[in-house]
Amino acid sequence: MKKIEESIFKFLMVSSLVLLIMALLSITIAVFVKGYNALSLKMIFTTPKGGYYLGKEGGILNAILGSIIIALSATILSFIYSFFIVFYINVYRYSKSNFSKSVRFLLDLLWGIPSIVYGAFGFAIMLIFKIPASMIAGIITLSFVILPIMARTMDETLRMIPFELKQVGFSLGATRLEISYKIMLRQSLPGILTAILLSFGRGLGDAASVLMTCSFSDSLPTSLLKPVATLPLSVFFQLSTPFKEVQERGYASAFVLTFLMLFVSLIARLCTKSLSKNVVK
Amino acid sequence: MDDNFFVRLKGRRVSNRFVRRFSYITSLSLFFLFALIVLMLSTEGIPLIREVGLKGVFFDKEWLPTEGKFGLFNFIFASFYTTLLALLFSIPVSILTAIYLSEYLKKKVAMYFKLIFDVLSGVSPVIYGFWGIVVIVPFVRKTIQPICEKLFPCRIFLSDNKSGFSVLSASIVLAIMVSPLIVSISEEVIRAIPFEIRQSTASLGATKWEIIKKVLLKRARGGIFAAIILSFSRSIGETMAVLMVAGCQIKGTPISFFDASYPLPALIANTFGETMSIPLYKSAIFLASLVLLILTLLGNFIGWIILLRIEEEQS
Repeated sequence: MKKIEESIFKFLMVSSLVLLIMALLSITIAVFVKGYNALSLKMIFTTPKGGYYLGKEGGILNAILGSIIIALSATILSFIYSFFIVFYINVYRYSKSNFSKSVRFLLDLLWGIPSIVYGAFGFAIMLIFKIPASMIAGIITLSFVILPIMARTMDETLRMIPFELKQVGFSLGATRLEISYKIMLRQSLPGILTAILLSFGRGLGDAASVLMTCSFSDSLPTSLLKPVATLPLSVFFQLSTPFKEVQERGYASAFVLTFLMLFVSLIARLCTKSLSKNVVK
Repeated sequence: MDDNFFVRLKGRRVSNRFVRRFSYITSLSLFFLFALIVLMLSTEGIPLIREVGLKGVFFDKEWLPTEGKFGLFNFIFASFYTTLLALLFSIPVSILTAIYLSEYLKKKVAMYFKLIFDVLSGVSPVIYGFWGIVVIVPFVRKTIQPICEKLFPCRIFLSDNKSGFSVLSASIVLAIMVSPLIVSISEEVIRAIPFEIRQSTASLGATKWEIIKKVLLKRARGGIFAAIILSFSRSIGETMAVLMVAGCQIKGTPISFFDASYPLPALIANTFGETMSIPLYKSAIFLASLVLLILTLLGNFIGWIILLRIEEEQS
């Protein structure tokens, strides 16, 4: 009887693992098969012409460039912000002090806030200061969305650094600033890079916050003060049209988006390996 | 020692102090940012409650912005309906997977599976929405709905919405989106249970399954609960994927699995552009965001407190 129960549950466990893997595989296959067939080089290198969403000529270059610019700038902004926070709570304060713990907890809470709420927050501020939908608004809002991801991932690597390394620094008479950039930074370089690429990937894929703050545009991103197109929104808009050709292009755009994100995540893993040769274990 | 040494020493101390103060202010500004988010959404959202009353907002089913009726009930109900259904699908599957990964597979093999989950949980929500439109919605429309209608002709399975864009499609997509989160947290919690406990139970003559059922699951209860709470707040705030597959029609309260559903985040994303002209409409959208904010914060607060306590017990 015991045996039967165990084998039933073992069967259930294997089938649920298979089910999950199958579902995730089916996403990848759907994107690659549907998208690859619809993809053409011309689409990547042209901007939408008149009537693009009715099935006329054009491409998604505006969205690809817009997404990369917005995600990159937001990553840089939130990197600078979280860099100071993370080094402060791990070097200037002890990692286990109450202050560090509460900052960490706050970051976890911020991580859990959905991106549409950040979008609404950005939108509220824009309404108060009468700022129209613009690239700069999108960049700032997106940087709030990815800030907790960046900070918490960096924090996890800094926390793992053995305390003895810091101690050695102190015994040589180094200030905490010197310990930060001469020991901790070098030690956590792979982790920091992973954090950056992870947040960049998240920034590329986020749609809800940029929908509310920088709207959409059919021209190339040229000014910080104008609306700008992003790739996830481009996928969304193309898929929600009733026209077959436009939907096909939506599949192709989804392919480009997935490809970009997987590429970033692959680079993250490769870099982590090659950068960790300086790390003392 | 020449004078130069002291000059340099002073420089080092000054720059150290400067960075210390600057970073302290930066860290504190995080609390300020958090307060600002809560404050902004409250000041923008509360006027509607003052105007229409708590009951009118949360229990009124009518949503007619042009006539001044802002009942959020249907949207909140749809949010809970879709999310809870998604959790119903995803909890058993994820927990079984987590047990299998931590107890039956070697750590290295389990790592590969977790890597796959990690990479795919980072993929854009829009891609999940795309998958929903291409795979799940046709599947629901062509296979599940006709079968269910024939087999169980009761209110839950009957609907005049035949498009496939429904509560069920949205919850299947959400279930797949949040499963990696539940799997990875539960797996870590189960794996962290000390080996001695397994050993001593085994020495009493328990089989592997008995150890899992009677000891490990009981000890990991808190962590698994935290994982569920966290994934609840993740999926209730999910916008784009749900917006793409849920149907999003204002058509009364969704009751059947195949009714179109219109959850809160989708409402915000769809209507924020039209709200400029009517002040109360604007307020309603921010109130919806405030409700989402409170729900997700509550979930995250409970979830992380539990996980932190487990972490402290272990160290």
